[in-house]
Amino acid sequence: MLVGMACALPACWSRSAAGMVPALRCGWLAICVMAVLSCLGVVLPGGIVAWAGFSGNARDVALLVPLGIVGFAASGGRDLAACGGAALAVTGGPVLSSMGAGWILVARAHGPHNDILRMDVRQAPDLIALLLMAAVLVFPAHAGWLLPGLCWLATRGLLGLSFSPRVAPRGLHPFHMTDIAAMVAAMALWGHLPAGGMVADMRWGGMLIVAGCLLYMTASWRALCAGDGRRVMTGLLGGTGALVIVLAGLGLLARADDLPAMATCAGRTSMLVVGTLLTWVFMARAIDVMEREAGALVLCRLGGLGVLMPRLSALFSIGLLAESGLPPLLGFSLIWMLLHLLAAMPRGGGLGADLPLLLALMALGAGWAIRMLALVRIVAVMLCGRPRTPRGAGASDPPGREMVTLLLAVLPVLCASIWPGYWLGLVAGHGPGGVTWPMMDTIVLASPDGAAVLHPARLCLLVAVVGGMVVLLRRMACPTPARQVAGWQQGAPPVPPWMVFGDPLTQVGPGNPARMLLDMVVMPAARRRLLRDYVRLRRRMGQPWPALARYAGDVLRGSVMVSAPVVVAMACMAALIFIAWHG
Amino acid sequence: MTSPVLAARMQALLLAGCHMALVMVTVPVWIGLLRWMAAMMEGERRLPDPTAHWRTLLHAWRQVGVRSAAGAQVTAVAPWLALAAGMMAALLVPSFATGMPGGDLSDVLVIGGLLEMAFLALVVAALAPGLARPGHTGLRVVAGGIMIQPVMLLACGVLGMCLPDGTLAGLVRQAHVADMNLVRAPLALLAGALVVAGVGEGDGTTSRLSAAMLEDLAGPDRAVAQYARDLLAVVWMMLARDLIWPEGIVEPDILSRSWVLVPMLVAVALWVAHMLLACGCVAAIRVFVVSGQRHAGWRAGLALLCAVMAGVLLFAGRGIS
Repeated sequence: MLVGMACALPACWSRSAAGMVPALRCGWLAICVMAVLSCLGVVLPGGIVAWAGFSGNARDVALLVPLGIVGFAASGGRDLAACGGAALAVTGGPVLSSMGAGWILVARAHGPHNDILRMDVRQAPDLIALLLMAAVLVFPAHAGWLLPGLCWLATRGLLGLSFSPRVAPRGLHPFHMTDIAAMVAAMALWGHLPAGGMVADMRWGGMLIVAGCLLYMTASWRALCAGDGRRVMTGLLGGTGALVIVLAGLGLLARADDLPAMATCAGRTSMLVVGTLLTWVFMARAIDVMEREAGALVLCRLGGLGVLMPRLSALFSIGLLAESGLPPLLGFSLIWMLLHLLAAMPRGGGLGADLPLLLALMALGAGWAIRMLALVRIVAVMLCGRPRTPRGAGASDPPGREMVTLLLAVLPVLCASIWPGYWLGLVAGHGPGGVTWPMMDTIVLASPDGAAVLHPARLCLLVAVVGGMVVLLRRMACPTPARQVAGWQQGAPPVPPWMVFGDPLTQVGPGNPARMLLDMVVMPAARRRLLRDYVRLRRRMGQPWPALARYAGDVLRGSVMVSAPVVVAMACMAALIFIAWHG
Repeated sequence: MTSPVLAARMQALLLAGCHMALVMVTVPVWIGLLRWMAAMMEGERRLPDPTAHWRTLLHAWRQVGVRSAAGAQVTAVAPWLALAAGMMAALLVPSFATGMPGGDLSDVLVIGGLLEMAFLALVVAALAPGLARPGHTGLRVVAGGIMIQPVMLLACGVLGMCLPDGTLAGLVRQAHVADMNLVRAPLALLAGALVVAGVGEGDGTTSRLSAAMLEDLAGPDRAVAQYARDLLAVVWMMLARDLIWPEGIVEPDILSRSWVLVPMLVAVALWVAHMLLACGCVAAIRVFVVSGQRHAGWRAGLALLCAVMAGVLLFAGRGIS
C-alpha cells in the first residue's frame, strides 16, 4: 500500500505520470480486495504489520474497502493523490493521520486547469487545526478536552461543513471523487478520537448534535440554491458530512453516559454512512459521463436528459433515490437508524430536558425536506422537460462498455441497500480467526434498545412484488400504447416536431424551488424589506472588517505566493519542533 | 414447511387480499364523500354526487390514451410508479385486521416514505413534458407538501416513545392488552398533524392545482394518476384512524375459532364508520381551519405545531405520572 501511495503522490505533480493512472487504479483495486479478505478473516501473508506510527487497527482496515473502491473509480492523478492521503489518514497514528488529511486538503486545492499548486487561504485554519489536533493527540494530558472541537475544525473542509447559506462559486467547490476520499479521511479522524472526560464529552456531544443538525440544514439549502449540477452534489455531500458530525456527537454522548448499546449503534450507523459513500462513487462517475455527453452541467442550460439518455438517467435516478432517504434504499436505512439513535439519546427529567430532542428532530426534518426539494429540482431541471441548448440536445447514452462500468458501480449500492447487515458485518472488521461471515440475524437493522427492527430486504421484496403486480396490471389493462401529441402552451403556437428545444423562460428553472420555499415562509415584500435592512446594517456595522480583509487579500495576492507543499512541510516541521520541545 | 405455518401464511395472504380489495374499491367513494361534505360545509347550493368520482375515473380509464410527446417516456411510467408506491403503503396500514404480510414493516417512517415517493412520482409526471403551467404547478405543489418530512420524523420519534417497536402492528397489539388513554391525546395530535400535512384533498386551491398538474394526460395514465392521488389521501386518513382508534382492529385467529367472521365484520363496519368520521374531519379542517391562498404555509406550520405539541403532551404526561 505504501508503494501505491508513493506512486500516487507524484502523479499529482507531473503530467508525465498521467499514464500511470490505470496501473494505480488497479493497485487500489488490489488494496480493496486485500482489505475485504482481511475483513472476512482470511489471514494474508505477513498479516497487518505493526509499524511505529501506524495504528494497525482492524476497524481501520475496514475503512480501506470503500477507499479502495474510490481509488479504483478515480479518473485522474488528483483523485489518486487524495486517496493516498486518505489511506494515510485511515491507517496512520495521530501524527500521520493528520498529515494525510492535510495532504487531501492540498490535493483538493489543485484544480484540473491549475498547473501551479497554490494554497487556498481558506484552508489555512483547517491545516492549523490539524496541526493542533496532532499535537493534542500526542499529548492528550494538556488539552485533551479540546479534541472534539479541534477535530470539528480540522474536518470542516474535508466534510464540506459550513454554516453559510451562500452558494458563490468561491465558497462551494464542484463535486469530484476527491471529496469522497476526504470524507473517508474525516471519518477516520473522528474514529481515532480518544475518550475525554465525562463532562467534556457530554458537552461536546450535545454541541456537535446541535451543530450537525444546523449544518445539515445549511448544506441542504446550498444544494437547493446552487446553479451547477456538481455544486448541488457538493451541497448534498455536505449534508452527509453533517450527519457524520451528528453521529460523532451521539457517540460521544453514549460514551460519556456509559451506554455501550447506543455507542455500538452509533458506530454501525457511521458504517452505513460509509456505505452511502458507494452511492457517491457511482454518482461521481455518472456525472462525469453526463458532463462529457451534455456539456457543462450548468442547470440553466440543461434539460430533457431523461429522454435523451434514458438508461443513464434511470441509473442516476437510483442514485438520487438512495440519497433522498426514501424507502427502500440505503438512505432510508440511515435516516431510520439516526431517528432511533436520537430517540435513545440520554435525557434528563422534565419537559425542558426533552424539548431539545423535539427541536433536533424538527431541524433534521426541515433539512431533510430541503434536501428532498433539491433532489426534485435536479430531476425537474436536468432529467425532465426539454433541452435548452443544442449542446444539451446532442446528448445520448454512452456506449455499452461505459454503461457496463456504471452498472457495476451501482451494484454495490443496491447490494448494500438490500442487505445492509452484510455490509455492516463486512466493515465491522473481524480479525483473523474471528467470526468470518455475518449470520442471518445481522441482516436486520435494530434500534439501540433492540425493540424496533427494520428488515430492508423484506422491504425491497415488498417493493419488487407490488411493483411486479402493477407492471402486470399495466401490460394487461393497456395493450395499446398511448398516442403522443405536441403539448399546448397556453395560446402559444405548438412547438413544431423538428424543434426539440423548450422555451427557457417558461420551463421550470433552477431558481424556482428556493423562491417558492421562501415565499411559503416569508411574504416577498417582507423579505425584500428584511434584506434591505440587513444590507444597511452591514454597511454601518462592518466598516473595519472589509478594510482588514482587503489589506490581507492585497498582502496574499501581491507578495506572498503560498505553495502547498511548502505549507505542508512547514506544518510538519512545526509539529516536529513542538513534539521535540515537549519530549 | 409445516402445515400450521403454511396455514398461517395462507391466512395472511387472504387477509391482505381482502384488505386491499376493500381499500382499493372504496377509495373513490371516500374522496367523493369528502368533497360532498366539504361542499356542504361551504354552503354550496348544488352538492356534488358522491359516486360521481367513480364514474369520472371509469370514463378517463376508457378514453384513448394521449400524452405530450415531450418527456413521453417519463410520463408513461410516473403515474404507475405512484400507484405502486401508494399500494405498498396501503398494504402496510391495517384497515380491519392485523396479521397481513409485511406487518413488521408497518413503521410510520416506511409508510410515510412510500407515500412521499408516490407524491413525488405524481409531481414528476407533471414536470416531465417541460410545459409552463403543469411544471410550475407541480413545483408549487411539491414546495407546499414537502414539509411532511419534519412532521413524519417528529411523529416517528414520539410514536417510538409510546411503543416498544414503533409499528402499527405493535400499536394494535398494545391497544388490546394495555390502557391507551394515557397516550391517546398525543397520538390524536400526531394523527391530526399527519392528516393536515399529508392530505390536500377537499380544498378548492388544491383541486385546481392537481387538475393543472394532470392536464397533459388523457386515458388510462390520467385515470391512474388521479386514482393514485386519491389513494394517497385515503391512506393518510387510514393511518390517522389507526393511530387514534387502534382498538377497532382485530387480531384474527381463524384457525382456532370458527365464529371469527363476526368480529371481522364488526371491525369492517367500525372501519367504515371511522373513515366517514375522518372524511368529515378532513373536510372541516379544509373548510374552517386551513383555507385560502396561503394554505400551504399554514398547513406546514399547523402540522409542525401539532406534532411538537404531541411530544410536549407526552413528556408532560410522563412527568406528571
